[in-house]
Amino acid sequence: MTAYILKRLLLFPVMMLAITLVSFTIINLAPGVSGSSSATGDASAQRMTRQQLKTLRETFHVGKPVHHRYLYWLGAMQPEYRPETLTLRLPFSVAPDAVPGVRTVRVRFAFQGAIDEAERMERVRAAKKAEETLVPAWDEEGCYPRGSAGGELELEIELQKKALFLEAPPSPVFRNPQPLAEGSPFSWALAWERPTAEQGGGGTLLLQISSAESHYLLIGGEAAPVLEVTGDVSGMSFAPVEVPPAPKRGVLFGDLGKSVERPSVTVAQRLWDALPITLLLNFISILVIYLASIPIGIYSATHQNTMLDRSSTVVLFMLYSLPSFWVAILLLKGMVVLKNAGLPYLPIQGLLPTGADDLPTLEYLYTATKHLILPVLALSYGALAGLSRFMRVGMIDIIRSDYIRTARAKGCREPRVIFKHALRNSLIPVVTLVAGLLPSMIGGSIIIEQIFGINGMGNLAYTAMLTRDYTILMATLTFGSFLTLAGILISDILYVIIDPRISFESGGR
Amino acid sequence: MADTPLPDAPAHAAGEGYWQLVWRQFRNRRLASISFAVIVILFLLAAWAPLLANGKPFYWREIPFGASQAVTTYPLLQYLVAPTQEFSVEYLFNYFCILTLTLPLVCLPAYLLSRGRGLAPKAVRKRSTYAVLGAFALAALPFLAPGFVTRAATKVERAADPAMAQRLKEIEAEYAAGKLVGEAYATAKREAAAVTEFRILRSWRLDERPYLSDFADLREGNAEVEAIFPPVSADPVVNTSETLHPPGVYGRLGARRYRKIDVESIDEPLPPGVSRICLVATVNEISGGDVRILERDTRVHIEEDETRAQLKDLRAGDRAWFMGRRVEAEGGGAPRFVAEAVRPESRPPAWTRHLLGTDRDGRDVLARMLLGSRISLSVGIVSVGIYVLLGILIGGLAGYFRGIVDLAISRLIELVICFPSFFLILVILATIEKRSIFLVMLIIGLTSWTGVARLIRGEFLKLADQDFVHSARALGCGSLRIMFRHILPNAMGPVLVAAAFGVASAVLTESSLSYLGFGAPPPTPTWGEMIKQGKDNIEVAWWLLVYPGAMIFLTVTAYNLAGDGLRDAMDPRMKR
Repeated sequence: MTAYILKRLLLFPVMMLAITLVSFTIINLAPGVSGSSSATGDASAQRMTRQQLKTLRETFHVGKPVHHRYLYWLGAMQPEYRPETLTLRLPFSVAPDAVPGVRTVRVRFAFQGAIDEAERMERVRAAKKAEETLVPAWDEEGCYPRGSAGGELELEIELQKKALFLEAPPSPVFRNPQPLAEGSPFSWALAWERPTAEQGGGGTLLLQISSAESHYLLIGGEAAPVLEVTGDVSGMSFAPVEVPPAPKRGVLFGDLGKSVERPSVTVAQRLWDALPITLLLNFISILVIYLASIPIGIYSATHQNTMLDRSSTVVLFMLYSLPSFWVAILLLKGMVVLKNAGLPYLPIQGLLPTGADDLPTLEYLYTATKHLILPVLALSYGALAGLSRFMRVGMIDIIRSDYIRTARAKGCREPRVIFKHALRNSLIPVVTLVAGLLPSMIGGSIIIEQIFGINGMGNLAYTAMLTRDYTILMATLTFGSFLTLAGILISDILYVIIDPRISFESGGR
Repeated sequence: MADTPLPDAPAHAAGEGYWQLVWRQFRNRRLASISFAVIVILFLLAAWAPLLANGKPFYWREIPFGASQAVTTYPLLQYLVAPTQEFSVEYLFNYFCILTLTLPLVCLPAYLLSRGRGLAPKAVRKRSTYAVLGAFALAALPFLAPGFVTRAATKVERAADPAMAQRLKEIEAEYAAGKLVGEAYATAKREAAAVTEFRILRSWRLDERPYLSDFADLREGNAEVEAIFPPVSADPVVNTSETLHPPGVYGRLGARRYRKIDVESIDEPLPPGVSRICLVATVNEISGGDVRILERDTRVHIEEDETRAQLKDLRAGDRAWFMGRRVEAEGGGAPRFVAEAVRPESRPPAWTRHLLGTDRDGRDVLARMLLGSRISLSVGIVSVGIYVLLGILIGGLAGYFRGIVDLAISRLIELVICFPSFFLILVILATIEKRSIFLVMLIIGLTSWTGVARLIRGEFLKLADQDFVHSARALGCGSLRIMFRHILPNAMGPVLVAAAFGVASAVLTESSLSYLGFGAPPPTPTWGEMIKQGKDNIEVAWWLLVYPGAMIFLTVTAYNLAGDGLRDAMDPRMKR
C-alpha cells in the first residue's frame, strides 16, 4: 500500500506537468497567441487592441520558438528581463563629520557593453530568420539601449543631521527627465530618497529609466548599467549600484501574466479572489450530496420495492436527466414568481448582498446561507440522484452478502445490522466517487455561477471566454485540472486506505 | 430487480443469436420500449421538421413588378434537396425525410410483388435487402442533382390566361394613371391573378394556406396571402419576398404617402431585442440618398449602391422621409421600396396560432423546437459515434498489446480525465474562431472518449486470454483480425450501454453549450439557445423556458431509460 501511495505521489508532479503541456497546446490554437497570427493578419488578432496583444505576447512569449515559449510560460526558463521602467538604487551614507546643507551631485550614467544599432538589427534579422513568417514583436516594440546611451545629470541633495530623520521619508520625486541619448525613446531622471532612521544621515540616490512609448529595456547580460557620481560628494560614500532583480516569471513562480481585458490586475490575483468562492460552493455541494444521498440510498435499499422506494427511484432517475442550467433558471423563475406574488423568496444574485461585511456574524451567516441555497441546490441535485442510485445498488448487494446473513442469524437487531455491519462496507465505493464528481462539479459551476451571478472561478472563466481573455482562460483551465487531479489522487489514496481488500501491489496480500 | 425472474424471459430460442436475445429482453421491458419509441418518434419529427414547421411556403406565386406573368416556385422542395446552409445537419435529416417517403414507396410494391410466391427465406432476405438499398439510393438521387430539381420546380406562366393578362395590364395602366392606389391596387392585382390553377390544392383549401403547417407558422398575421402575391408596388409598404427569410415577424410601417413613411405601429417603448427598422429598396430602383426622421432630425445616409438604410431608433409618431435620387424602374410606374420594421414580439401560447408561443423575435417556439431537435439529436449521435470509435481503437490497443502500449495509453487516459470535460470543451470552443455545429460534435467526441477506452481496455484484457482467442491465433489470424473480428464483438455490449448514456449526456452538453452561446451559430435554432432567450425574458416569457427544457429532459430521459433497459437486457443474470 505504501508503495502504491508513494508511486501515486511521485506521479503527481509529472501529471501536473503534462496538464500544463496540454493546456498550453490548447491555448496555442487561439488567434493572437499562436506565433503565426501576427504576420498573417488574423482577423481576430487585429480586433484586439495593441495593449491586449502586448499582454498576450508578454504572457505567452509570442515570437519565440514554441518549445521555448512553453518553457518560458512554465518558468523553467527565464526570459530576458524587459522592464518598461527601471529604477536603479544607489545607497549612500554620510560621514558623521560631513557638513550638512544642500549639495549638488552629478551622476554620469552609461550602459556598459550595450549593443549598438548594427548589432541590434543583426539580432532582429536573426530572429526573423528563425521565425520565418513572424515579425518578432519583441524587437519591434522593445528596444535595446544603444551603445551611446547615457549621460550626465545634476541633482541637489539636502544633507541633514541624523536626528532629524525620524518620521517616514516622503516618496521621491523624479524631475526633469532627459532623453537617454539622441532620438532614444528612453528618458532618465534622478531623485533621491530621504533616509530612514536606521540609515542615519545617508540616503538613496534613485535613477529611473523609463520609456515614453512602452518600449522595453533589456537589462542584464551585456547591458549592465554603470554609474559614476561626481560633484560635491565630500563626506558621502556610495555603495555599489543596486539593479533590481528580475522578477521570476512563469507558472512555477505563481506568475500567470496579466488579464488581457484588464491589464492592471494580474491573473493570479483574480484567480486567487475567485478560487475560494468556487471551492466553498463545491465543498458545500459535495457535503449536501453525501448527506442526502447516503440516507436515501440506505432507505431505498432497506425498504426495497416499497412504494416510497419505487417512487424515489423514479424521481431520482428523472432528476438525473434534468439539465442543470434549466433547473437553475426555473428556480430563478420560481423566485421571480414568488417575489411578484409578495411571498417570501430566496435571493438569486450573487453570494452576498452589498454591505454584508458590516453585518453581525449571525446575520452574516444567515444571509450567506440564504444566498447559497439555490446555487447549491442546482449544483448538487444531479450528482445526488446518481449517487443515491449508486448507494442503493451497493447497499442491496451488501445486504445480500453472507456476513449480513450471519449477523442477522446471530440475533443482531436490524438497525445494528444496517448501520454497524452493512453501512461501512457500502460506503467505500461511494466515498471514492468524490473524484468522479469533481470534474463535473467544476464544469457545472461555470453554468451555475453564470446564472446566479456568483463571481467564482466558473464565472471568471466564462467571462474570459466571452471576452477572449486567453491568459485568464489558460489559468482557469490549468487550475481546474489541478484541482481535479488532486481530487483523483486523494480519492485513490482514500480507496486503498479504507478498503483493506484492495491491493495494487503485485502478489497481493 | 435482477433476481425476480420475468415470466416471459425464456432461455435461448432455437437458432436465436445473442443480439436477438438482447433485443427480445429489451422489448420485454415496458419503460425501455416506450423510451425507444420516443427516440424513434423524435427522429421522425426531426426528419419531418421542414414539413411540419417550415419557414418556407409549399409554393410561391409572384407577379413581379410591372409584369403580367406569374412565376411559381416551390421553395420547400428546393429547401429539401438544397438546404440553405452550405454544409449542415440539414442534409442528413432532409435525407431521412425523403427516405421516409421512398422507403414505403419502394418496399411496399416489392413486398406485394413477392408475397404469396412461396419464395425461399434466403431469396426473401435478398429481395428485401435490394429493396431497402434501392430506397436509400432513390432518396439520395435528388441530392445529387439539386439544380435539376430547382429548375424543374420553377414555373413561369407566360400569360396562360389571356383574360388574366388583359386584366393585369388594365390594372397596371390604372395604377400608372394614379387611379388605383395603395391597398386597392394590391387587392385588385391579387384578385385578377387568382386563377384557377392548383385545382387539387384549392379543393383542400391549400391554395389559401401554402404552408402545410398552419399551427407552427413561423410568421404571423395574413402573411400567407402576401406570400402568394407579394404586393408589387410602393404605397402599402409591407414585406417582400426578401424579408421573409430568415423567418421573423415583421411589423408594419404604415406608409400613407409616397416617399413618406409614418411610423405608427411600433409599440412604445420598443420591446427588448428590437434591432432593425429598415427601409429596403432594390438597387435598380433607388440610388443613394437620405432617410430622415424629421422629429428628431435623425438622418441615415444610403450609399450609392446600398439597398437598405437602418434606422435603429424609430419611434411611434415618427415620420420618416426618403429623400434621394430615384431611378425609374423598368416598365414605368412607381419605384418600389419597402419599409420593414422588425418588431419582434414574444407571444404567449394560444390554441388558435402559435401553440407554444413565439420567441422574442416573433418566431414560433414549436417550429423552432422541431428544427432544434435536428441539432440535438444529431449532436448526440455523431459525437458519441466519434468517441466510441476513438475509444474502441485506443482502448483496444491498450488491452490487446498490453505492456508499454497499455502503460502509455493508461497514462494518457488519466491525463485527459484530469480536465473537467465541459470546461475543456468550452475552452477549446473559445479559442477557435469559427462556430459550427460540426465543431461542437467533433470536440465533444475528441474529449469524451476516455470512458469507452477504459471499458474496452478492461474487456480486452479480460477476453484476450480466452480460449477462442488462442484458437484464433493458432489458426494464424493477424492481430487486427483477432482484435476486431473476434474480441470486439464480444466486448460491444457494455460499449453500447455506455453509448446510450453517452448520447444522453452529449445532448445535455450540447444544450448547455448552446445556452452559454458556444453552440451552433445564432440563426440555427437549438434548445439551449431558446432557454437562453427564456432566461433573458424571465419576467414574462415562461413558455420560452419551459418547452425547450422539457424537450431536452424528454430526450435525455428517453436515452437514459433506453440505456438502462439495454443494460438490464444484457445482464447475464437475466439469461437463464
